[in-house]
Amino acid sequence: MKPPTPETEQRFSDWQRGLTLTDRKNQSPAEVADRQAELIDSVKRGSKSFAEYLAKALGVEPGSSLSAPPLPRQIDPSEFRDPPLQFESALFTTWSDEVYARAASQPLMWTRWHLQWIGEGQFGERLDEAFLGTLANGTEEKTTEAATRNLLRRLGGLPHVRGKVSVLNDCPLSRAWWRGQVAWNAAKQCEGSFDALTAHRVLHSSNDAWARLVGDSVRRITVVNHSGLRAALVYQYRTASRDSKAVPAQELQTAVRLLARNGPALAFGALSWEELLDQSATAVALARAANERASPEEGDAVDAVVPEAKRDPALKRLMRRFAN
Amino acid sequence: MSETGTLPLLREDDASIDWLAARYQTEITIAGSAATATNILVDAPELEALIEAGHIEWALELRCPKTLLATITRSSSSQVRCEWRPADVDGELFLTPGLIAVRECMIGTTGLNPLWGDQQIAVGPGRWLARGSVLRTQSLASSLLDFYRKEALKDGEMEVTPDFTSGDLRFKVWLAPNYFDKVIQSNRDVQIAALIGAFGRIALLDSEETESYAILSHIKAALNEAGVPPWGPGFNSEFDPARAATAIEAFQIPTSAEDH
Repeated sequence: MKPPTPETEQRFSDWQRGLTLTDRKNQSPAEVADRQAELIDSVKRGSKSFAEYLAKALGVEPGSSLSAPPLPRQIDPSEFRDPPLQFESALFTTWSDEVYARAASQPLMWTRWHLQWIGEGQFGERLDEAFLGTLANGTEEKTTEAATRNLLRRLGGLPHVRGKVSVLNDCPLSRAWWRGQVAWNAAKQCEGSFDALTAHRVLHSSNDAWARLVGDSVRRITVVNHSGLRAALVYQYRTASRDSKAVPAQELQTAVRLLARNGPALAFGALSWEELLDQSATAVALARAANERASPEEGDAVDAVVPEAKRDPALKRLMRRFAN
Repeated sequence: MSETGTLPLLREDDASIDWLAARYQTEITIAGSAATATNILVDAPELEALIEAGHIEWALELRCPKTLLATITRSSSSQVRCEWRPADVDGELFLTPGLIAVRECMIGTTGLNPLWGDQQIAVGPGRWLARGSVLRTQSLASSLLDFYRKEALKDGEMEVTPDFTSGDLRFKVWLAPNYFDKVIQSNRDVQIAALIGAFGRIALLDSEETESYAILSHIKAALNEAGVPPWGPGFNSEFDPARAATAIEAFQIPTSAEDH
């Protein structure tokens, strides 16, 4: 898929920057507030009004086809803010032939697709609950800045504030696709140990764990993007689900960072499934032990585990096994 | 679990203090959605013996952080070709060539710094034994084309014009508004059509002009490597813009195995 052009990307970026107060030196707070008020007003007046506003902002001609992938059905606000597993999985399956990673990594693309879905009435008329409100109950944020940022994040991401991770995590529908994609790739690599829905359940079990996994993967620890390694991590948490016990976010992050320490010496993509399981199991065990021992004041558990391992024989054995 | 401890690493930039005489050089060329690493080992009989025995292999690792992609391609040949689907990557790509162990093996210490002692060193699978510098890149087509909407064009029309304002040569691809909205996010064939148009324009540029742009040197090298006649100097009747463009970005017919 062809990514957005520099011209449309620039227009999108200018629009988002004009709506968020990130640079007080070069922005007039009053002007930003006026633009935010106009945006929020258009959202509250319903799908037709908001679709018109958005089309104008993005430079989309009325009636243009935006080639958005179809939604399986209408989505209510609470479902949109935090899609259930079955719905996320259905979304990925529905879109599997139409959406690819290149397009799915573009906040502008998702925003354009949302424009089409909003215009079709797929989110109903309670757009304020879906896009402006808090995740928990949809109640509108106290400030227009917070409500505006919620909206921009949920339409497809707010890259100039949140970076590349925004499209992977901040927009519920793009996040659903990315979780489905990571789950699908993991299931292909696990030699039949689990299926894609199981992997999706694990990744869906904790939004915090997902955010930390992809946050590190996209920003600083790209070595853990080998789908075999991610599959092995999923395997370690294969019983996790939102209904029972979610993936412990801090522990997963510590394990990922421990694995990354082996990255310069180890080509994860060249390891067998058994080797990957061994690496990931040791990293998770070490992370669990480290997190149990590290107090919050000590900061990063990865840094805490090294001196701790010198005092604790169990940790020391794991550490030696992991990175002798 | 095999060891991940310190092992002797032969680096491309001569920064390795592990090896006394051994040298490693590598060159990566990118053509379309593929990269080829050509590796050369000098004065490294221990590593060459392990390659010969099939214990270690040449590798080329590809990472695309924006799409959470990381893959590794291995080969017993010193030339490693790695391919990717354009739909799977976006933004910068990072390519790392090198040598990795594919099974447990022992490495002799004769060519190593005496600090390594005289006992053979155990190496576990997946360990890097030689590694080149990371090449950071974008695809040639992405480096060459920018897409724009042009109101004046009739339905389905396209224009391609050279643009020198960035200091390097790029091409502006103008599409009719209705077509632009439709294909902007879905059609690789349009990108290839635009590339054919751009190559047609390259043939019309002044020879001296084409020599001065780095992007064109890269494309010319890729065409030479693919055995496809490049443009010029002067009029070259063998230069076929369609053949050249599709050597850089080939049309792709999705197979059911690629669909997901």
